Amino acid sequence: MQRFARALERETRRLLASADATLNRLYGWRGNPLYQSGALAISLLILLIVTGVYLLIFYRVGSPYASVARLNEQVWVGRWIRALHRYASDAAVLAVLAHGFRMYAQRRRWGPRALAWVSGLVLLGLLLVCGWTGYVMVWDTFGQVLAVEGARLLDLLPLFSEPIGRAFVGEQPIPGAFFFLNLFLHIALPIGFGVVLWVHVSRVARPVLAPPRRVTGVVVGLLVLAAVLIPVVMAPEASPFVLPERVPLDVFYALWLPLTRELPAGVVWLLGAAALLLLAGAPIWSRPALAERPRPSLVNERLCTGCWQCALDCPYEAIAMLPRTDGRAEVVARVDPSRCVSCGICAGSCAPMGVGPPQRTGRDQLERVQTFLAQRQPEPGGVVIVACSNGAGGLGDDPAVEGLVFPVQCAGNVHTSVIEYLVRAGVEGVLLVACPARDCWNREGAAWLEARVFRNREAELQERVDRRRVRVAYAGRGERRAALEAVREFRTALLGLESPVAEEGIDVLKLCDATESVEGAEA
Amino acid sequence: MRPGVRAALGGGLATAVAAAVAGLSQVSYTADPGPEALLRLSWRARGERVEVCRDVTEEELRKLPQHMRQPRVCEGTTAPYRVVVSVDGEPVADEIPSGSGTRQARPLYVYRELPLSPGAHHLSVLLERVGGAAESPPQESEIEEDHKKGVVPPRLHLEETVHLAPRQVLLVTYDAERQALITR
Repeated sequence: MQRFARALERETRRLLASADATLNRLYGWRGNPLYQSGALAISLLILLIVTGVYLLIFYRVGSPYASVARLNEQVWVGRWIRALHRYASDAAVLAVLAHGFRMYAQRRRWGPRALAWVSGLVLLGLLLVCGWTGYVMVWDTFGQVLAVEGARLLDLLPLFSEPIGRAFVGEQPIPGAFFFLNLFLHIALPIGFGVVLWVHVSRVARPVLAPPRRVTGVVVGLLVLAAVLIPVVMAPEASPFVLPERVPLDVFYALWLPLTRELPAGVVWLLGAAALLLLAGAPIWSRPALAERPRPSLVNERLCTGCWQCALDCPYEAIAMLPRTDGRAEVVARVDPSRCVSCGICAGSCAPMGVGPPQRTGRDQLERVQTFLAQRQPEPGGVVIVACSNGAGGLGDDPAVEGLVFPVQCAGNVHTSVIEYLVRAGVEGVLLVACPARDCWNREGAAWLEARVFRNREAELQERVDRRRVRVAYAGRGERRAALEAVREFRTALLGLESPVAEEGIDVLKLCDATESVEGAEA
Repeated sequence: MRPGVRAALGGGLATAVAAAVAGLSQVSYTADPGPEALLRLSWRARGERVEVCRDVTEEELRKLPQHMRQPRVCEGTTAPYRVVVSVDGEPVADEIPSGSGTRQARPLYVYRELPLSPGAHHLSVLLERVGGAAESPPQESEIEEDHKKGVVPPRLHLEETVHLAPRQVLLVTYDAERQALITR
């Protein structure tokens, strides 16, 4: 099973990298809608609520079809608002699927992220059920086919004493209560959305709930344009005495319909249950073997100064500051392993290098970069590329590029002392290649890196380091050309600088003043 | 890529995706391809209730809590009925519908769909109490009068020649007021 999971992950990653790279070239990474899929889904939900309120004013449970038909006759407003409501719901499904695909490809589905994965599935389920009730509300032939098929499937379950499918056969007129219930569900389910969404983002700090305005504006604008130019077809009214020949099927909500109508209800339930188990079980069957799972961060309490920065920077609220028990006055950081995804952001945020996943703390990084330089022996004027191994155009996986590649698991892990060490060791320049901000597997790695290097965020790059020799570039996994272009540009920019002077015998531990002060205080 | 080309490609792709969303939102799907019509049997009717009653002994009564001491207890169910459907003299369905509920004591329902070719058909639908009313009388029946009200008769027979249009659904149902099977 793990072999299958790895192969699936590899292929989804490849596909995602390719799609991201294409859209980045067209729109730039700030405008790439795939990076905003989750936030876009929420924006579309808000659009659905706004347009839904307008539609609700005209909807009548006593005459559902007639009221929608009247609405459709409002050429200037009602018709396109109805179409916009429909297309926004379709786009929401698309956005949710894209979001789920990204989360799978980027391994953001198991361990502490399993809650978000499963609650995301619940959100998708709610969205689909909400859509089905919306279609049944219209009570046209498509709504009828959906209702009859839904009733056929539900009748297999031992829930009702009599088949509910009989409600649609024409024995009696369909009661208004049925349409009222439908309307109630259609309105109540989005409220449930809010609750599940809260659970969905409960394990992340600073969840991004809205995409950039430009992206929202373009998406909404295009949907409005589509709604005006391509109005929704008003199918014939449902009738229990005529079998509908052709119905306008919404692929996003009823792709399954042509298949299930041909299968016995029991088989449909079995297939549905299997699909659900497969998706909901992904956090279990697709997680790496225990030995391969990254370990949660650890805090060296002796080094911790209680500055709060790791707790502030942690994208998963996995670090709490608690009173010390060793007699010192300050608080001390404690990592909650059940929330820590081993992103390593804390390693880059800790000035005294006292926190981080095993083998990836600032101190470990300094030791590694020391060995790296000793082994690779950069030529005078050489550039070191510190590349995220998840993105950065794949440079982190490929040392055969111009310059020396120092791979890191996430650019947000990089401790600024590593950059300082490289510059003081005499390299011509340090190019940090991170994933675009919204593509970061660890959510905020790229943002914190830039803030530490250029905006004096705690664990900042020291003033003494020549900023002209340090640059941050962004490239997604599939943007190898863009990453190499950034390397070339940086090398060109460095040509105008004087030759760097290499310091001899840099004391790695001295790079960290706080470490010394703590140790000095203890002495 | 030149900015103009990039803008054109980007705009074109975004427009195409929006058009695809609108198009995929209403794909024409053939729900029922053929010209076949449908005969639909659907009704709910209260079948004759069969009850067996007995007096509870003094000893049994004493074992029961005071509020449960009924001198006479009755257990009942709905009598079985049979539905036989023939089209143009050919039997197409023969089944014994059950009363709903775990003890099958609630009204029985019939729900069956049979495809038919369009055109004229001679239709026969028979609903009959299994064994007949006299054949299996309850040993001791104390069915209250209000139970008997609205009970489907022991035998109902619908015989009719119908003309079905392509894709028409003909409903055969039970009219409780007229106590007869009817078509719609």
